[in-house]
Amino acid sequence: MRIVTMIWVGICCLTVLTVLVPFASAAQKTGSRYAEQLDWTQDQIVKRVVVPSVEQPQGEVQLIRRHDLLVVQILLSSRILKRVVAVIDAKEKRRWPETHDGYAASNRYREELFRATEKAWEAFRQRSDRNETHQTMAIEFILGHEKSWIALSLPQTEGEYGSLSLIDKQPVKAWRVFGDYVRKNVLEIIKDSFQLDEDAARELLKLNQ
Amino acid sequence: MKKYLHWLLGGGRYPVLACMLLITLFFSTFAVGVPVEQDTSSMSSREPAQLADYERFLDRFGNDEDLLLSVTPPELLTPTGLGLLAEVTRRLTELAGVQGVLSLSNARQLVSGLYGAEDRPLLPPFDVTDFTSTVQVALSANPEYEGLLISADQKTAGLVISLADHRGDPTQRRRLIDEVRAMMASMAQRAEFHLTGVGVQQSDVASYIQRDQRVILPLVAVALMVMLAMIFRKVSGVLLPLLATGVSLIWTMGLYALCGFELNTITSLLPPVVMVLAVSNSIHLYNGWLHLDGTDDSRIALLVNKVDELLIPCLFTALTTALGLVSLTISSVPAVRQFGFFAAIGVVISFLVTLTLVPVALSYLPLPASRHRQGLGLLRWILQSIANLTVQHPRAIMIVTVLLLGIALIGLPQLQNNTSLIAFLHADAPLAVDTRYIDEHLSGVNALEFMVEKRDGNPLVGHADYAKLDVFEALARSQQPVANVFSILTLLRPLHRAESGATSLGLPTDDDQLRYELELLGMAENQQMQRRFLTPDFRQARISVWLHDVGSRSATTVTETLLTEGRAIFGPSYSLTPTGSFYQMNQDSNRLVSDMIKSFSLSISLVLLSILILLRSLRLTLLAMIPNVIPILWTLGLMGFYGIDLSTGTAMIGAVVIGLAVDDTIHYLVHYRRIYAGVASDAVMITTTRTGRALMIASLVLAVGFWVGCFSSFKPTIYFSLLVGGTLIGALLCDLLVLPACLILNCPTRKDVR
Repeated sequence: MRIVTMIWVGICCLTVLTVLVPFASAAQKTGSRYAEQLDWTQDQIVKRVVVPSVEQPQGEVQLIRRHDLLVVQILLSSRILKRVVAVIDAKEKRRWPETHDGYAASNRYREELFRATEKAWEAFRQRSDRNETHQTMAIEFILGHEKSWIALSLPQTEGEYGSLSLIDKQPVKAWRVFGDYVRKNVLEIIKDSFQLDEDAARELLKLNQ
Repeated sequence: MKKYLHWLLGGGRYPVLACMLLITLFFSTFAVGVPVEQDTSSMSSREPAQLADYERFLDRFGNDEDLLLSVTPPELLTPTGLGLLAEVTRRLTELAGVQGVLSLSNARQLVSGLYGAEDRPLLPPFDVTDFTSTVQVALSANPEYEGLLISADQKTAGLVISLADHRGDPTQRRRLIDEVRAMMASMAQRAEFHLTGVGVQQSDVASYIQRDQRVILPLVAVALMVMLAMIFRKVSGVLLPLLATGVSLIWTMGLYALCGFELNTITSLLPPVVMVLAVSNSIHLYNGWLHLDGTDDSRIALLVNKVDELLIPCLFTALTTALGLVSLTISSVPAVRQFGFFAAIGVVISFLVTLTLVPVALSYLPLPASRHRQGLGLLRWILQSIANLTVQHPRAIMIVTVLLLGIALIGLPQLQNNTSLIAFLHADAPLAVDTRYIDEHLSGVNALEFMVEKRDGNPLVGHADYAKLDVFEALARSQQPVANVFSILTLLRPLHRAESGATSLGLPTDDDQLRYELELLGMAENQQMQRRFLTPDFRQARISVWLHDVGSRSATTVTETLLTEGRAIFGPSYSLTPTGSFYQMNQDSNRLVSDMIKSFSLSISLVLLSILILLRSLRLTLLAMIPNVIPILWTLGLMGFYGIDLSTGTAMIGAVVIGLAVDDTIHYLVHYRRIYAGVASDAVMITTTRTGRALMIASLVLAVGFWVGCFSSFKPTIYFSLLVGGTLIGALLCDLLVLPACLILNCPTRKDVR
């Protein structure tokens, strides 16, 4: 009887855990699982560029050294964030068509990006400073020696384009990506943002690893 | 004076003629190339506040003088028809001076996508199946293009051609319009084309002015020649007045060009008017010379006496004519001021030239044979009959005059100001035909512009701001002559529909969404459209209310309604400023009545004063005004009855006529007073028969000279010429009938007359 009771209690606990865990804060979950990969406090920015242009700035692409990881961070601070993300989405679709190996990873990235954009819009509408007109979002492509991750977050920034710095960052989603997708995508982003050819982009990524 | 005249007609003849020749040569170098104004800027008043608003508007939103081109191919909504439209759009875009072209072929539509609005071409590819029905679906989903880029019956396409800012190079626009018309002509087999817009109107007006100069000036010369030949029947009687007229014209137009002025719609009247006015004094002098009786030995002395006798009346008639014209310089329209001033200068010049050149020339001629002194038999009989009539029935004449005046006064309140550049042209003028076509098939041709801004200088970024704009737009659309309304809402509505995924057009209902959509508009690749309606800092919005060609009267009513109700809609924290070239034209038109009253009052006052100085009799001065004011009132009443609008041209009639008409009165009264011996009817009988001939000749020549203006390209010029000529004939009748009747009925003692 005692054993049966213990089994029931165990089942109930498992049930509660099963039900409650999905409702737990995604941010806490993400943060706790990839705490080391997402720890931006010691970030060293190696190179940065204002995108898409200094004339119409919408954010920065930053090449970051984080512990032994290489991070390509797209730090967006824009009054038309949705439209900027739409451009990223369109580029992603072009780079990773259905026939391509990285399509599945790209598709997941695009879906998460869309959801994060909605969250960024909601956060913007609930801002305390009504004079703030910029919506922000950070997209991180994190490259380890053998592993790679993508992280989406809602940052708080300060400074002008070209010297944007983070004050805070609320993680939205982070996930590990298998295969070559992140490495190849990072190469494309570096080429595109820093206006480099393939060799120069590879050299830049190699140098910084 | 006689001493000077003796010198002039003696030893002074050659030096004076040499001087005049030199001066004429000097001025002729300028007179031959009087430039023609390429825009109608001189037709707009320089009212400082109005001008400042317009300058601000141009700085914020660029040029408001788009060209509108309509293209009607056999079948528009087919690959062939829209292919032609694409070709026209491309060719227009390549022209220098074109900032951009908007047509169906390059129009965009916004559709809903994953991240909101997605920009797509309005037209499908030409090879798509069901091309026509696909286009029709796209058009019905984008109703903002109807009236602007396509007619309601979907048979005519509209192209909006935005011009680069041409301030500083007025010929650029004319070159461009010529190129567009050449393109239209080269494609005329494939579609029907019509071109209009403020730019075309202004360019064509410049062409019409040049055409009128080529046609009217020779016609005036021929008319004067024929009239002088008929009246004097002597070669010298034709050549001398024409010579004096030609020299006066060269001096006046040379001075005009030397002062840096260009010919405009109003000052294009200057050469014919100066010619006509200049001939008047020559007629009096030549007529006086014809009546000289004596031997050839005494001809210089006789001529000196005659010139001396005519000098004062001629001086005063020139003075009163000049004063009447000078009164136009208080007008708010620069073109009218220029006309008034230089026409007055022309009169003064013609007085000096005529009183020098004609006596000098006559001094070389033998005295005329006595048969020339008899004059025309018919004219003599008419004058005798008139004189008899005035002596026998002065009361009847006054009763008829007062009756006619009463009828005229009934028509006077019906006189209204109305200006329409298209209505100024002949109905079959290409510009008028094109404008009517575009007006009927597309969105009107005149844009009433409004600027909206917050008085505290803050940007228009609240959804409440745009809700007010929306209400104002609805108010504007509800006005009868309004064809369409364009503003930033024209762009915002389809954007919001695509952003929100809604099925119908609407506006954002919260500030964040609005701001986001405004930012989207501001970041769009092609900034041309949004910059036309909202400044990049969102502080000023423009609303273009397009009206059918209804003229300034209806446009003013709409403007007043929109201003009054618009200010109530926006409230005190916003400013709503009407502006634009069309608004300026309306405002100038509205000032015509007050301008006319002011200049007419001034001219009457100046003319009265000069007559008072000449006659030194208040009673005669007041009597002198009767035959001059009455014909002007008759003319204005006639204009009211026949619906002839008061326009820039017709508003000048009163001031011009009073100075001219009074000339005959002066000649009549000066002669009457000289021969008056206590019996008014005797003096009237003699004065009418003796001076009547010169008065009739001068008035007829003036009237015929003015009537040549009926060949003008502009209706206001035609009305001006016709009515001035008619009023002068009316004034002549009053001088020969009403003035003598008044003199007889108010016969004073001899002492009073003196």
